[in-house]
Amino acid sequence: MKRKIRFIIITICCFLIVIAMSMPITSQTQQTALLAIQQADDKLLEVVSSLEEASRSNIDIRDLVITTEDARQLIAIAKEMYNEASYTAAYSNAINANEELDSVVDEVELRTDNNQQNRTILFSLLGVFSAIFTGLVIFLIIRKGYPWYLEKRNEEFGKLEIQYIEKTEGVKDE
Amino acid sequence: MSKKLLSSQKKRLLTVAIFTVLIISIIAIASSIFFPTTSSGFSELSLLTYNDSSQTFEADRYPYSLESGVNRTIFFMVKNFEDVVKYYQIQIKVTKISQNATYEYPLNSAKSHLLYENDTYEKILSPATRNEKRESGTFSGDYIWSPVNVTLYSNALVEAVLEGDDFMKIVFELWEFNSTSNSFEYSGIFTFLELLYYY
Repeated sequence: MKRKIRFIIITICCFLIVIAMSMPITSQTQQTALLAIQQADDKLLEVVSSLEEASRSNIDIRDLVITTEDARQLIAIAKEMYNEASYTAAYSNAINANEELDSVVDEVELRTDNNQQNRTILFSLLGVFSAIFTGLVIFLIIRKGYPWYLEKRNEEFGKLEIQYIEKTEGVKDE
Repeated sequence: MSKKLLSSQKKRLLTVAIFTVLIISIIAIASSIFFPTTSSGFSELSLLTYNDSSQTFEADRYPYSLESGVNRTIFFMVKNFEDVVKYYQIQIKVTKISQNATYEYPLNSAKSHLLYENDTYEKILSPATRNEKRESGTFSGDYIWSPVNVTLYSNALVEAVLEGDDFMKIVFELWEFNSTSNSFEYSGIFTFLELLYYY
């Protein structure tokens, strides 16, 4: 009988030890899940801002919006699971959302850079064309305009007549 | 002599016109490249019901009453006709029929009851393209928040807001995420249902 009681006491003690040991692990998992969700939430807002900015510059980002929406749904699921104390599942969903958002951030940066390059190329071409156009205008002015001006000037001068005013008597030079 | 003068004047006018057009086009191209477009569009929020016989959504046959303990179904749809990506949120509030919904301010939380949590109905939408802006009668697309099923219900909190009134107003408010303030802000767009309430 004594042996039985001792066995029961030992079993209960072991059970309590196991529970006590698993408590910090659960708490750690909860903390990690919460951190991952917060990180994903912050990243989502950051991505939305960058998508807004990219769409203002007329960059095609439709596929990235769909990926971001998927990530937002994953975060929502993660929050739901966290509230239901399924911390591991919540963590895994939050991590997946984080990864998706990271890929969107990279892609937005790449497309923005490409767009910037295209704009630079376009502007350079615009600059070159403007320079050519200005050069042409100057050339035309020198080649055609100046001779035309000279001709006009000579024409105008040709019309001029020299009139001699005879001095009347009694007027003295000063 | 006069004919010669006329033709030279015409040439000069033509040269001036070409020069002006060129200058204007250069300025236009440069400004379109360096000054991106600002949002000048609009967002659309609509309430719909589902017609089982024709199997389509329609802006008709809205519920006219709600009974305590009996749920009703309605659909809302949002379209992004802005020129930028938008992160939307829908807030569904129950209030007394005498409460006015305005374009300036959202319904006061002290005088209304939020049917669902703030983040229950959220969606990120692409802007509609030029062709999509001309479409009508479409219920799906990257710029559309396809009709979402909402269950209208009542509970003690709803009844507390009504304070014994026989009519209720269910307001659907459209909120947009503002990246400057990093929070959702009321867009000024709303729609509502007025229902007879049976206790």
